[in-house]
Amino acid sequence: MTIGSFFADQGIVIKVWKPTIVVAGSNVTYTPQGEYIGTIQDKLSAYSHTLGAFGGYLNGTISLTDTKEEIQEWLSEGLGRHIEVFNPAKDQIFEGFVGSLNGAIETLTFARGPLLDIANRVSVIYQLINRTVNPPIDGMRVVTASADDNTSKIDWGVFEKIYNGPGMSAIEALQVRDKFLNEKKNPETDRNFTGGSADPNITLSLLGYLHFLKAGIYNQTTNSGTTTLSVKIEDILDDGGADPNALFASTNADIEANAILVQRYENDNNVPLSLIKALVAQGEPVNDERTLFGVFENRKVVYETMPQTVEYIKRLSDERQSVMTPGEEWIEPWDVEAGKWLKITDFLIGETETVDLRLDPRMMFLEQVKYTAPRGLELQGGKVSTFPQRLAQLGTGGTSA
Amino acid sequence: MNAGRWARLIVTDGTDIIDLLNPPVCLKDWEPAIAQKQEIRQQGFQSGGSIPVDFSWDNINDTFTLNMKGRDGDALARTLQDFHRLLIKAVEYWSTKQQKEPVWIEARAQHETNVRYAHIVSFQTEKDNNPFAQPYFAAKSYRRNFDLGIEHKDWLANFPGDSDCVQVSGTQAWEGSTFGRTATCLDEVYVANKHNVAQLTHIFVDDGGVFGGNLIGAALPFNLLPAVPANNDAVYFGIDTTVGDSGPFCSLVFDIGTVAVTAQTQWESWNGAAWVLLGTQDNTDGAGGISDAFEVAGVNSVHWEHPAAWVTVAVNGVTGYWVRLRVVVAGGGAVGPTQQNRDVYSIVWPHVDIAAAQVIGDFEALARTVIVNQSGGSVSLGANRIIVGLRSLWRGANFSPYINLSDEQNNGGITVTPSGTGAFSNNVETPTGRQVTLTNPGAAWATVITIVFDTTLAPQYRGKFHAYLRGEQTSGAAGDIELRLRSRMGNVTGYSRLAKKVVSFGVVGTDDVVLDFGAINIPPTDNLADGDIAESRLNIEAFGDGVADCNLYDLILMPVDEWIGDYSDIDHLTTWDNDFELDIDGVAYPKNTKRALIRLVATGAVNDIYEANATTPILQANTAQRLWFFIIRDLVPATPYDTSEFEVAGSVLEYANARYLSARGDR
Repeated sequence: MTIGSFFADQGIVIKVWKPTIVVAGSNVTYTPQGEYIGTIQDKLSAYSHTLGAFGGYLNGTISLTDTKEEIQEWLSEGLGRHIEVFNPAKDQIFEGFVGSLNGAIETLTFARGPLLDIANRVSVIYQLINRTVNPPIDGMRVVTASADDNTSKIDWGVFEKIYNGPGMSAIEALQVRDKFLNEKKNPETDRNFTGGSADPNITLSLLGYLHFLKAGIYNQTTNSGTTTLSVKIEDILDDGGADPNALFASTNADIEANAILVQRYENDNNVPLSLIKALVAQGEPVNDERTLFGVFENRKVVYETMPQTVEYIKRLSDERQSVMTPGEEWIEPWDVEAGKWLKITDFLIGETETVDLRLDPRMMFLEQVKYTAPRGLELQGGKVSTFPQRLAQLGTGGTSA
Repeated sequence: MNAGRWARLIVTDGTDIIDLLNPPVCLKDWEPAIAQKQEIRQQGFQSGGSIPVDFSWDNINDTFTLNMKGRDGDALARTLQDFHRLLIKAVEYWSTKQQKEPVWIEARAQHETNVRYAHIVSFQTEKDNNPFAQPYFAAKSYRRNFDLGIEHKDWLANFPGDSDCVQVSGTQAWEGSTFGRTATCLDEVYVANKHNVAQLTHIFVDDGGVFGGNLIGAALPFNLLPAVPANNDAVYFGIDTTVGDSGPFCSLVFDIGTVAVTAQTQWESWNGAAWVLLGTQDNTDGAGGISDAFEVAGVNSVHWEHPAAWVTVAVNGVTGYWVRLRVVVAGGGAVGPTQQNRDVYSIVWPHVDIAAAQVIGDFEALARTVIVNQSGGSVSLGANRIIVGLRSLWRGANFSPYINLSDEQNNGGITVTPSGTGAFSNNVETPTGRQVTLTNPGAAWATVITIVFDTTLAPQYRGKFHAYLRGEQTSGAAGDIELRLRSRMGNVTGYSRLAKKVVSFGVVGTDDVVLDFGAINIPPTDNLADGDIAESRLNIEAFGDGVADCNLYDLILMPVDEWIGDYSDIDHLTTWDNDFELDIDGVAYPKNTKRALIRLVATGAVNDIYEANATTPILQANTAQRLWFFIIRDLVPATPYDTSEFEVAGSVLEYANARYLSARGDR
């Protein structure tokens, strides 16, 4: 049974779009569901996706076998394409974009991307050197104005990078900026000829839209003082600098209120994902429980405290080896989600369940879940405690994801 | 090999034929292979042997041992070349875009009634035998023995691309009469986009102000207007609202015998003060700009949207929802139409029935469903997304995906109870005329509707569904009200699980908005055996900001566990409207058994492709089944909501190509 025929028999559907990107001045309209390309499940040779308690739709892999013409088309046009995967009941189970791709046609192997390495809005931060005096004097660290490449933005969306340069003059900094922009405005493409030959194939490395929170820079120098943690997450999502492609919005998010007070002022040129990780790491203020952050269907952001109840069970002795709900509804492997408690119910039989789930050795908090077609499922448990959140609130530590 | 003269074994593309049973090719041996299952197995710790958790049928690899003989070496070579060319064509059918003609095997054993067909996928023949060996020299006869391996698809009842008509029916027994269309292959079986119990109770003809008797159940044919109509003569169609499970209706289906000859007619409804023009899509109206009903003989329908001002009125002593067709101008030589063959009825069911004998074979048949839009055109009752779900009847004859959120017009085993901020109210613009109104739901999740399936009905609802809700947010801002769906087993304390999505209205003041809850199991367990008795219930829960209201019409549970297809106009270019039919085709083009074509009804010409979010369409073999339909207007992506007008209706044609593991015999 091929993966393609398995998906076709099951009714799992993978849809592909080419995003449409419209640039008007500094405004960018990035529509992932731009031009519909079609479905590709019939051509699959491998598929997997990974969901995370932090991140939601994290990443995935699609391998296709197709005609030489189709593979060439993927090589030429595939980077950045929008991908959605639906289960047989027509619920979405993954959404992302092609972050990079690699493949082979006979003796030619090729790779393109990563998309996120593109830089088409560039500035340089450097230490200004005054060479008009002898000896030259090191000045302050300054930042150049940013330079954009509109053609690249129309092709790929906006990806802002700040190049951390050495000491130089202002003119040199602008030269470095423009050179860097010119070098990085298009995706890397590698080609090699190898001795062997292969049927035309391509592997698409998918990334969830969480990774687009690396495409911009978040600075907020208008207001000082403090705000609540949850409001700051909303501010980041709504900021045009942090999200230059306007893919996220607090109006398309479920942000649980979190009263921890955090500084509003930001001027360190951080990418928003780093800031959000640091905010999520602080947990919630009452019991210092972990909080979860994810990007899901239609780029919807969900921020919430981790669950305190068991939502999945599994038995070592189960013939089907299914993950089930506590009501024993079978969950198909492609439907299993991360960020939930799973209990192994035929392990340590007779043990009384603890109120604090983390103390029960039968409990597993699903940090990451990887589905591999046709029915493979890897469940990665995470350590759950309250101490790291307390440390993060005090300004040390952070979340790893 | 005992191949009798009635036996048949050929390879053909429909034009060229290689006969494997008659010279110069003779079959020496063939042990037919059976399709093998490709299984995925799982095994638990100390759970005994492994079990299959998935399987599919693989292609069949048959080996034919053939013998070619003859005295003309050139002729033998030509035959062999023709054979090879056919087999290469078979491979090219799958491997190239341009080759459109399939190549298949036809087989029928001696004394077997039916031929079976298998679509060739590939072939393998490793060697010829020595053309210079004996008896080449001795007998002056050329002989070539060789093994031919052919990989082919399942055995079919028809050659690839062909199919048999499957008779479908749509009927309803109500108030002592049976309405609808019995099983047929004609385009006369209608489906609604709702499920009502209410059906027509009365038809009166008004002849110059004098009403005739009720024509429901009258001897056929009967006159739908006076034999010689005069101005302002009329025929009234109504549902008596003093009858239980009654309400408004949005369509009428006629079978016209004698066609009408009138100068101008007009459909009208009562708005509380006067009979006013009712906008309709009247398929009984022939060509021409002037409204003139009953001009077209045979089965045709009339459709309208429930008017917002439609109210009940007493006609000939019967109070109910009424529409009438009035003769505005009779004209010279006017002739009244007649209804023949069956009662006039309203389309109130969203499914077609398929009897067990209609689909034969050893396992699921390849299917083709053609849905003709009947309601669009003059009124805005088109759509661009059609969801079709298959469910075997043995799982529950009383199952319906449509649960009306009202205190009427559901199966008797279903109880709908509003609570908290929810209460029943009247709204003529809903399928039943009743709805649940949520008034200012507050900022805490609370159950607003409970749907209980009693212990008799609950087993019929067991399964997996994709759940949708129709309604309208009437005040506040879009997004002020969130809704979620919970499936619960047993009574109020039983285990429960939420459907995947929390939903909200993307718009305020637009009716028929459809919300998608995602998949849900009823009950939320796979742990009940057939004999286990338990209630099931669904809770609709609401969360609001205390300043927004909404109306909820019906909950739609499309079955997903046998087969479901979701077909949509992904580029939003061609609406499935009155001129169009959606051809969900798993039969006619074996290269792509998941295609969905929008065709012009008049010519059959393909106008657009709908995206098929589906596996190959199938029908179950040897079991009675129903195809259920849910029809949506999928608005452009920038519009944050979709609608589903319940007045949309279509008609259904069904085809199948049965599949077999081996010989057909006479079945």
